[in-house]
Amino acid sequence: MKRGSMLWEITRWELLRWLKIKDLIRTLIISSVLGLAIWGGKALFDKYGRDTVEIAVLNFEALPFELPAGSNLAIDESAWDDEDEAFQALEAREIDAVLRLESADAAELVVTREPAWKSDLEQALSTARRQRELETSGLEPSQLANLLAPVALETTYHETADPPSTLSQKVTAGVIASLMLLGVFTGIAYQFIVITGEKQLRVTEQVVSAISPQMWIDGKILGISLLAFFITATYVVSSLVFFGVSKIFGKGIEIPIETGDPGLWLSLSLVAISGFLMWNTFFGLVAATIDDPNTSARGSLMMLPVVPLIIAFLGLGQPDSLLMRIFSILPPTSPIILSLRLVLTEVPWWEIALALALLAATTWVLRRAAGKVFALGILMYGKEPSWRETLRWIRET
Amino acid sequence: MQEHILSVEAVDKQFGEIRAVDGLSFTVRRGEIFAFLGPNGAGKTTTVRMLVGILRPDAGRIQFHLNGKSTEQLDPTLLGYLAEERGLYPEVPLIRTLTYLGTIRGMERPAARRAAMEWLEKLDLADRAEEKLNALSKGNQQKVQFIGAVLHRPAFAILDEPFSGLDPIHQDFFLEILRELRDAGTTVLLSAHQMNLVERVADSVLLMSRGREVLSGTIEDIKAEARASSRIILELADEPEAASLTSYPAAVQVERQPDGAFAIELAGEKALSSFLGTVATQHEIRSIRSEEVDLHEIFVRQVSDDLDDAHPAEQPEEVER
Repeated sequence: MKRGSMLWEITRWELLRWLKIKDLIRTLIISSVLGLAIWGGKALFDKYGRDTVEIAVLNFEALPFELPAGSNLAIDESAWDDEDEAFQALEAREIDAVLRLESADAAELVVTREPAWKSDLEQALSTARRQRELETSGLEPSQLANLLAPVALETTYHETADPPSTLSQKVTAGVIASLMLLGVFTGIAYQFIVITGEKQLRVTEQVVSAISPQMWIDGKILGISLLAFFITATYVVSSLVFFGVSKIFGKGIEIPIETGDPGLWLSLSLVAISGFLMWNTFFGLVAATIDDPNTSARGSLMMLPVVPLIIAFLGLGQPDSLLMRIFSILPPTSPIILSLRLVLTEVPWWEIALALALLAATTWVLRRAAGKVFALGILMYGKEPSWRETLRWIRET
Repeated sequence: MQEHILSVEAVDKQFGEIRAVDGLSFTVRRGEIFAFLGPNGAGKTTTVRMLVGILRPDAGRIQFHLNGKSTEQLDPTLLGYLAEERGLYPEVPLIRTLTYLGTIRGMERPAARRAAMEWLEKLDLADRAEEKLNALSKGNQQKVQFIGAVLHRPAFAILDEPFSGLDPIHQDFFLEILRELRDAGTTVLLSAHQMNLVERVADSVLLMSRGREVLSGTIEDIKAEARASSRIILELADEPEAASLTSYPAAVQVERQPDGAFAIELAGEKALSSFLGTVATQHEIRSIRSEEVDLHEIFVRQVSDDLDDAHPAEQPEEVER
């Protein structure tokens, strides 16, 4: 069997061993059901779940007000001249509240249970009070609007300037980078289970007498990367299902995704896939040094992929600074920071190419190191190599 | 065609201060069942790991002679290996695991699946092919591990402790399978503790102690050598001290048994007549019977001698009969 075919057999084995199609289908069904429950429930509540709240208003003339159209509040300002009668009705639960208007500035609301609708009433009263103030001050509504309006500051880009990124471009970059991190974290969990599990299952000798440790770790890293990719894709599909269901029941949730710039999509996807593979290979190397993930302190390294995200936030305001340019070229910060720069500024093509090349080279070196560490560590049952030993093995590669 | 499929020359392996294998040399003939014997820590598993390429020898040479070529590392497709530290994937159906093990030994997937099914039928597990490993008994799990080592019909199979964990019925069954493998052309090297089983199946044996060979040869040769030093059980009427019997030149070793009789090892069959003639002049012989020394006895004695040479106070670990 050729080397490529053998590698595919190992990759396929690792992928199918852990890919639970039934679980993925369950995930999709659960997101549909959740979408249905949340958004369908909201629509149902909007239509049938809002009872009319009846409020008796005493001394209505102190601040006459109107409720906005569609409000579920109902006011009755005429029939309650006798205050006692209003409170008797409240006591008998025939009405929901008594509103006593003292003046235009003060009012008392008497209720028998917490009024979830209080803010609607406050808004109606405030509007009425503002209107009255406007009338007494002699100001025209347009004059008031002028007073409250901000200074009109229009931004015009010079003809030599880079075109500004749109909201959809920024969201697209954020979504792709987030998916990369989601894939990385999914991959980490499996790397630790799969690679350390072989030692605990005592399978290593049987397999390593048939294939080289390098081929074995290559197959594992590729298999787990594919697995993480499929799981992430399932999350994406289940999110789309969730959003789709939300739209069926009204306005729903809209995410502005860039659809008109294939070049941006291509660059972001290439960077994300390269970063995903690099991190997966790195954690394959870490897992190869661990005997038992439940007790090893090396599990804390799984927070490393978050560091570039923090750097990205710190440098958000100056994406073209020297430091941000360096971070966007060098691994392991390049996947996140380059994604950010790709939408915030114009990145020269050579910087993208160099970043991708360095990511590929780093992945290659990490892969070789993982193979070496795995080969030397797989027979160390019950203990894990020290940092010094691990570094020595890596240097030897 | 070369008679030997494997030749090992002066191989050393050291772990820190411990010399696990010390100048070991042996050859394995094509088509035979060759058994490695020895107490725990003798260096058997280290030697096996060097043979399959998991460890590298510090010195010496290992050479496989197959298909007209001599190589230091056997092509994995020609090698079958049942490791001492063994396990399989408990959450995967047997047939998938075995098919995978066949493919990493160079088989195409359909051929590996067919071979796995044939072996499962042969070992009465065909109806459980879709079950997961952890649903099987320990003996049946052992069968599956064995299938994983040989389903690709290797030219050379290395089986480290293949009988451990098996009940007597399964042990007999495995002996038969080993003979079948040999008859089908597979050379088998096995490492084991169970002398009685090895005696029944092996063509040649090599006894190791402290990383070195202490005895080797075919079973027939070793037994013939054992017969050369015959052992008798002698009951004397006057019950003399054992020390007085050791003064006879023909008696190599004399032991007093709990029933008062003497177990006497003689320096060859020819010594028997002169020994008995001399004893009869000085003691009244009540009964006499001869006893053949079995493989177990020979090995325990050899290992004891070897350990006595190294550390006079130390005794060998118990060897399973």
